[in-house]
Amino acid sequence: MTVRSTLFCALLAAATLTSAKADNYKIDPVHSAVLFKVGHFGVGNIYGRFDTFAGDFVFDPSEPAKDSVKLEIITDSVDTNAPDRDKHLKSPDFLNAKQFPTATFKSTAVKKVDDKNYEVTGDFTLRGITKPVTVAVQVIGTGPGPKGEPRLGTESTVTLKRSDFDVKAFLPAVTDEVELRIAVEAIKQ
Amino acid sequence: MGSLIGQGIVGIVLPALLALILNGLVLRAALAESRKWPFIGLIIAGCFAFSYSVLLGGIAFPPREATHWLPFIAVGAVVFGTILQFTSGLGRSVVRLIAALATAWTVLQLQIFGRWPLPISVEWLVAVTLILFATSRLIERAGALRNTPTEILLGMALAAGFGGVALFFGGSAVLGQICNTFGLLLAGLTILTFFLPPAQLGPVIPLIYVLVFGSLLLNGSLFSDLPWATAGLFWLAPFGVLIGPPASSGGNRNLRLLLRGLIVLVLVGLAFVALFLISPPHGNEY
Repeated sequence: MTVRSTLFCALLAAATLTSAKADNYKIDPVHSAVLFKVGHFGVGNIYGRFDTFAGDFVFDPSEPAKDSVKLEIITDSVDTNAPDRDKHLKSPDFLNAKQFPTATFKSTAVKKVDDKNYEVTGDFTLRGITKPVTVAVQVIGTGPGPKGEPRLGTESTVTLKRSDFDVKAFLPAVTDEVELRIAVEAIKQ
Repeated sequence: MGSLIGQGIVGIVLPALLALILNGLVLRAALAESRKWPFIGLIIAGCFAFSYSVLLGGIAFPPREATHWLPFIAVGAVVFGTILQFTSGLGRSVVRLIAALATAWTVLQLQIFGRWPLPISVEWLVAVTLILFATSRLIERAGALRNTPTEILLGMALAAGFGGVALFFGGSAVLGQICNTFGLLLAGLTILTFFLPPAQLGPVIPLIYVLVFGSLLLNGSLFSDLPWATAGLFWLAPFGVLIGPPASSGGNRNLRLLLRGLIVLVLVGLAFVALFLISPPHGNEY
């Protein structure tokens, strides 16, 4: 083996090691959404969203055990396209946004289901109450963004029981189950 | 819709009727008047706590939020009110001050820890304590000098009942419903005292009113969107019964009651004007 080929092999190994390293991503709020769905009087579903949130995660497809996710949602940013309803949702009847301005999720374990799907278990905190939840995460894709920056897209779903977090107003007319859907584009840091 | 109506019947109408019957029995009982009021206070507080439990899906223990304290404040007010009933002199003021401070603390504690600067927190705590202290003393003393118990109760019932409507429009439907129940409980007692007039109201009911309604208004303004001006006018509303000639001057008691009720309603009306000017509803039904 010549010196040149040895050097080439060393560089290749270094490149491989670098790519296997866990990457840090920061959520791009412009290309992300935190949506929720709740049943209304057994007739239909009401959809809403949180306009302000932030988060980051560590992602290594080869070593999911090292992966982690953090998400912080500003409860005062709830938006259901009905200002009076939003005011009510922010009140102590529901989110109690002035006393509890944030809802947070911090992962405790990540399990790889297949190349595209993961199960992320973590602690979800709402109105000061923390409960373990498992979120189904699907990797939509990876690739360069508009400025060539590496991006990763995921879509996650989890169904929570709002009564677990002491949000009991108008049960059962407004369903206990609330489906959260978190669509994220994150930029590699 | 059916479940909400059912919840309203069990959470609002049932406790109001129960309190009406039980308070009627107590008022008719062969007991000294000073001993009747603690029982009546306990019935009011118990029915209020029951209503809270139905409308909010249970009583949280230990309380974690300002609103969680409401049933405990109601029961605590009965205890402090009963002590007041049988205390005199400086001890009476001390007991009243402790009750006011404890209530102010339970409502403001979540804001005090790390949200507001300490001096502002202390100012709020002192201000709310003094307002609660002074109001309960004023309603009890000035009311006793100028009004019949029915007149004082009418002022409190109207303020609490319509205060619930204001809380509803101020963003918190559940707090509004709880406040409505409180108003109905007092309204029932007003009707009872009209037909079974006691000589004096005593300190128990005014203290429950001040601490519970004060907490509800504070919760509405601090954590929901009830304008402070509206809360302030509701706070002043029961003092409308102090206007006009004292009850001891004689005259037609029904007419006097009606006029005093109207003065309270004028203040309630002003509170609603303030509410709709400062925080107009968007008119989107949801």
